[in-house]
Amino acid sequence: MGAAVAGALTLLSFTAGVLLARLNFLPTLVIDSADGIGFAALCWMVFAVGVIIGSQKDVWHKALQEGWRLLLLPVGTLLLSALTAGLVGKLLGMPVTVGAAIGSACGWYSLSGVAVAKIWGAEIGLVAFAVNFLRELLAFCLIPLLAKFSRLATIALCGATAADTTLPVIAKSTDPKGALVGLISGGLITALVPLTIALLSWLTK
Amino acid sequence: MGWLVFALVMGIVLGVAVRLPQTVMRFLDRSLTVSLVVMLTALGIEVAQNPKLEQALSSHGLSVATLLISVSAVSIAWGWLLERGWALLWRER
Repeated sequence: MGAAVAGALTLLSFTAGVLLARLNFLPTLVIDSADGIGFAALCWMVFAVGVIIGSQKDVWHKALQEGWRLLLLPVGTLLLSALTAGLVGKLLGMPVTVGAAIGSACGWYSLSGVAVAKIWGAEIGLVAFAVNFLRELLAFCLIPLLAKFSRLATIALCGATAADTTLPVIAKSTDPKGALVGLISGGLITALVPLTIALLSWLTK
Repeated sequence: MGWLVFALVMGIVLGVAVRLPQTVMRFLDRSLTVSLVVMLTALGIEVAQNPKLEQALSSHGLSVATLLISVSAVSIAWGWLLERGWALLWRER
């Protein structure tokens, strides 16, 4: 499948979902179980990616050979996202720590929306939710195109989601090594995001 | 999250332990596309039901767009620099 076709398919599927729900084309049962259906599809995709990664024995060796350098991608992505959002947030009139907290979620919208709202208020929580949700959506659309130019840039854009929702798309658009690096990078960012938000909340006080 | 980790571990264990035929691998690869369409359509349905996104975009559209573009651009640039500048992970050994 071509990169442009894959990107368009991603955007079309999402848009179709929004339109089908808005225009009431779907039975209530389907709408009510959309969450479950989506999660079941995601579990299947993650399982399939696991089989693909597991069956490529040399990929593990090659990726782990990089040692500590493998950490540069997730740690740099998290720090730069936080720093950039902090500075841009300041220009937009937010305290640096609030902007940094929004950026440091790296696409993990469910956590950032709730955590940021709890610490800095509902309004900022909404911004955190929207920025991180749209980052995931943007990643879905750009992965197939971006993977042609740089696999690490693709994984960096996905942030925390590289370990779950965007992992299958990374696997499909790159190769098993790309999927493994995405899994490691996303997993590490996922572990670090709550700590970073907690640290920024502590700095605010 | 627990189910996702379970599915991933099961997949890796199966991939490591059993040498699956090419037809099964091809099926898994193709099923990724179908599952992705299903997952994203479901995500679209969920978003349409959730007023949060629309609310944030209508009241803080500029902030959301500026933060999104800057954070995404910096992340892409960082990944690109790592790969191109240092030829770190994909260099041929």
